[in-house]
Amino acid sequence: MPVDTTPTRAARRPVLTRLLRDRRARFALPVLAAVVLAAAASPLISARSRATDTERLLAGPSGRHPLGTDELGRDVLARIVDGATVTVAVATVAVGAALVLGTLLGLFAGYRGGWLDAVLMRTVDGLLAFPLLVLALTVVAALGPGLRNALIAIAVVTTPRFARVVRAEVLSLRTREWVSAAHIVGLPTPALLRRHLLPHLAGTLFVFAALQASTAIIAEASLSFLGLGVQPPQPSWGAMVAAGTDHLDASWSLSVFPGLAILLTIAAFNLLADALRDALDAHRPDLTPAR
Amino acid sequence: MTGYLLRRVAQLIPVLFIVSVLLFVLLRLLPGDPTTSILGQEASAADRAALRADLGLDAPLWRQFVDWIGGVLTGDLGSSWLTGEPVAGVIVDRLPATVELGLIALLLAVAIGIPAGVLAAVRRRTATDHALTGIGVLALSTPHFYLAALLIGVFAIWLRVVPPSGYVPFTEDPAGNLVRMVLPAVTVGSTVVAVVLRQTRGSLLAALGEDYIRTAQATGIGRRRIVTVYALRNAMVPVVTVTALQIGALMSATVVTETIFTLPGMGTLIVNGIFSRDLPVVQGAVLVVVTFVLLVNLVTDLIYAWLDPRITY
Repeated sequence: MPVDTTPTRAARRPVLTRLLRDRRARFALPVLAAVVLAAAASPLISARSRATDTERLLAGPSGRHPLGTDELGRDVLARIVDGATVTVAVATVAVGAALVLGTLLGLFAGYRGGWLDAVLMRTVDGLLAFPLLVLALTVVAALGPGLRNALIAIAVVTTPRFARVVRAEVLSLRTREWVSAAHIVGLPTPALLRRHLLPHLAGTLFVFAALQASTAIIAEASLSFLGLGVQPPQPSWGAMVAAGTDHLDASWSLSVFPGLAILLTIAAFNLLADALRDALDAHRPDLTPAR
Repeated sequence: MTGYLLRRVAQLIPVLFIVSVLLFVLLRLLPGDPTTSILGQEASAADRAALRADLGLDAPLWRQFVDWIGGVLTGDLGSSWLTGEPVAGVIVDRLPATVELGLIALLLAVAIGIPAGVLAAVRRRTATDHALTGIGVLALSTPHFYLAALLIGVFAIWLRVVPPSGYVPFTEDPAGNLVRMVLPAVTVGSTVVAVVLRQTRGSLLAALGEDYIRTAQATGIGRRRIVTVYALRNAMVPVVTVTALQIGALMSATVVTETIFTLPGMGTLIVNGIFSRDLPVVQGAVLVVVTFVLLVNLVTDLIYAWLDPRITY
């Protein structure tokens, strides 16, 4: 059966252009940009997010407090903006650390094979057997509550996932001709991995990182909700929903808005991952035989 | 098949061993002296030393690990540092609530997710499909604690149709038990529904594109029969697998959900154990949860191999 390998016109467009034409990305990118902007603005707003308006406790939305106030009379909008710092830290620091560490482990385990691979992958299996939040809770139990430890816990639970995905990709790539050729000409392993394997992993890693960011943000918010993540007075969206849950009969808005911030951010990462996957896939020549 | 089964069970043993080592080492990193949290700040050094010896904390780490594993293998998970009760007994008391919550959530997910997925697939690229797929993305993006807060707000506080939290054992008051389980089960099931929906839609669409469907159409069989009998049966295999693989996520969800609805299950046991630094309880409860997840994964693999004879053992 003849296989048409000429890329379609849509596929010849650069990935970024394709991404910007995708409706899911058009929703996701502005939402994520808003979260980053909020985090950047947090030093300006942190005084306001800590100020208490004792006249108005658990107030609903008003001109003075657009999203209402919490049980101490603090402005909910200011606290949501301030709390974006935590979310951005989770998506960049924790997921970034897991991405780097997991990729390195997966590259070496997959390329080298042998006992190193066996030991690493059994450990990864062991870590992946824990339900994500249960492992994060266990790590926090060991290290104690707080933002820094929550970030470490999330990096610990996310690293094995990256290692697993990267290793699987490397196993299928390492038998390709260009890899064998690089090996035969005597290229040192680190250079070979960096120049001849890593570039082919980039697409998978971007998509996977976006998905893991959404999982990581849920995990941090859950830890903070349970009181084991970010500690007061620093605001975090998860802890704000928790405070709202305690005062549900007095204020409907207190848990609704911070929760909405979490929901929109997670939805943005999920949709961005879907859009990115499609944009990258279409860029490859379509090898499905014409029917 | 027997060989495959034995090999899979044998593979489980090193993973379980690594899990227990990781769990043990992680929890021993705990800073501070556990005797302080049990006896309080004012306890004398002698009392503390006596307690340490009592709890076996004066032995070297490897010795403590061997003692713990030895106990685990004979069904003894140690005793709670706070209450002195055997951990195994506490876990047995806590299991019914978690198992019930998980089962109802799973039933809900399958009962809603599969028909919704079928509907989305047969109405592909219509408003119905877009709406269902959109609800799926929304459900996957809503943290369980947020959904729980919204559900409590609407159904328990605003409409007052269900109690906001609490638990009655099914054996004491079946109706009261089920009424209190509705919101927690919907919360836990929400993400599973979305996963089941996506997978059903995807595999049904793939199945409908197969040659045998075209053949069936050519013989004049009705569309309804083609979808429900011919395509759905084959599309169900990956749905079963993907649903079963959600068991880990389901356990994560129950931890948060039980805490909000104050259900006396494994989740609240772990969270409270962490707050009170009751190490033997946390260690035992997490080990039971992880073992359960691994066993479900194993059974899933075996069912998969049994359902699909093309898989070579």
